[in-house]
Amino acid sequence: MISIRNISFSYIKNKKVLNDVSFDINDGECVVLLGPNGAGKSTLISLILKAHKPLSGTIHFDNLDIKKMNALEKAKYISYVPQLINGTSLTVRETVLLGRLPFYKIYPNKKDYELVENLLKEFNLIELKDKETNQISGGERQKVSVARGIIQDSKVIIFDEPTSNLDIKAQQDVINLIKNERNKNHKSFLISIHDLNQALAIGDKFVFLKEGEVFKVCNKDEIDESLIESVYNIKTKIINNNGGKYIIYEN
Amino acid sequence: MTRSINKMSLSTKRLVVLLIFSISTLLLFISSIFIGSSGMSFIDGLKALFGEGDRINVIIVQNIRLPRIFAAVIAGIALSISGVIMQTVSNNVMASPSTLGVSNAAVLGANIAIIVLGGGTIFSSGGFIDINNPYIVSLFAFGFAFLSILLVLGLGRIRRFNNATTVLIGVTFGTFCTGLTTLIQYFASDNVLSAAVYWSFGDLGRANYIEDLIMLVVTVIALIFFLVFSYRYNAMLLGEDSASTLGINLNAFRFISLLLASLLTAVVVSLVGIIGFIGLIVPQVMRKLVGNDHLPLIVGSSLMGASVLLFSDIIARVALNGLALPVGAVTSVIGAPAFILILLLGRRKSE
Repeated sequence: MISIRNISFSYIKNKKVLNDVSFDINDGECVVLLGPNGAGKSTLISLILKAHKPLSGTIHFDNLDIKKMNALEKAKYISYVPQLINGTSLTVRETVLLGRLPFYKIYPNKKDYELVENLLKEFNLIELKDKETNQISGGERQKVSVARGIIQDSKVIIFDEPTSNLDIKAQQDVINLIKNERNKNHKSFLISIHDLNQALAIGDKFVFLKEGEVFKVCNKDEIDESLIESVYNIKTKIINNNGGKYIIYEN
Repeated sequence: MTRSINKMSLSTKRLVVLLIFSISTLLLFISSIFIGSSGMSFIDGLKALFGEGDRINVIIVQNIRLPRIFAAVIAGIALSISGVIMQTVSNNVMASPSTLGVSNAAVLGANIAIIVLGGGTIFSSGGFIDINNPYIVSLFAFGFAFLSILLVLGLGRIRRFNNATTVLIGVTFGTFCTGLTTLIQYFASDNVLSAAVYWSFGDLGRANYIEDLIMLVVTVIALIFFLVFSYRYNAMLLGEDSASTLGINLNAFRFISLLLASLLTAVVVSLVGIIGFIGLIVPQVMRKLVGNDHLPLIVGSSLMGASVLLFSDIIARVALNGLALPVGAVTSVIGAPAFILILLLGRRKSE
């Protein structure tokens, strides 16, 4: 379990990007981080990744304060799936293999290579394994990033806008990969995402951020038109169909 | 041949490239022993290698050629791996072993020793300029290079600079050192000035076995470190946020990596002078040939760096029949057009 308590942060003095943010990510829970651009989603993720130190407040993994965790302990706790926007000069296989880095003695062993090989097959990436990630499509790249995050076998996986900048098919693929992974393992997820329908499709708990503060923490049933309007300032209509909940954006 | 190499699987391609450069290093190493301006025959050279035959030949092979050849191999490895690490850690393909101003600081130190402290009262004999107190000069060059490393990296660590700022500080500091060097040279007499300028030309002939050993120790330590942590360098290519969630203490790792890479440069430059280009270009070519997995990249760059410097040194020794050219100039004069050619060919391929 990750508990985030009273987190405040600012890049520039007196201009808080996050103000007194608190919520929990329970074991096995998929928490979706929502809110308009500039609401503080990315900043909050970078604080959990320990890239910045919060101004005040604490973040605990189970009962461990992240301030006291070393890099290796942290690596077994959280993995991070960034948007691989441009890709790198590493190949697909080399990139996914890095997910096993916290387990290497010095170099990856046979088991690491096998795990990677199997996951690449499962993700339909095996044909691309020797291609550099800057030479494949955005959708394939994002699948590589997800694979690297999953193979790290951490308790929590953090996804940073996993579907942004992808075409619709690739968005569906990535959402399905995340859903499958949820069904297979009892892991916790923290996902920041823009598309509300995708959020509804994968989330258990929804944290709405607005102007650096937690506007509301709720479950799927509590999401309604007025909540969305007050967070995003847009008009929507919510449709319930076959047990699913869908949001239609109105002009 | 390039086309057939491109068709191979990545791991086969890597093996082939590493094999080619292993063989070329070995062949160049062996031929270096027998090539020179003394007109010694192959048989005489072979005898001299085992301490037999003409005494002059033994001295030429064992005390002049061999230490120089070892210096070429070690300095070639040192500069190339320093370049790889500098480029990866600073996330900048234009980075080179002297990006943090190390070479400029070494030159400043050498100039102070030669010009200000008189470590370089020169004597002229048969057209050669020599420096009469090379140890003081090397010591000063290394001292200044080392201080510059501490200053640039220390500032970066205390003020928590990002990579770009650290590189910027390094480049700026290098320019500052060059400015001071120019000022010192401006007020120097012609004789000392030519000694100082001569010193800054990279010259492998300066190295004896002791200097080879010093370079070897530092190079082996750095090489082992870089190879053991090669996968962390891969992780750094993914970006800071990803690398830090893969169990790497980024600040400390970056600091030690830059420290070792700069130290390699400092030792090489202070012992044999500036040998440009290798540290920039060898890693670039290797990245194209074997990719960016740092294990083959570092091994390949080591082999290619050794080959290139051995080859350049052969050219430097035989080009003007008797008068050795500065190898630092040879690497740049041959290497730069070769690299541009590679870039042009590569561009056509990708189109």
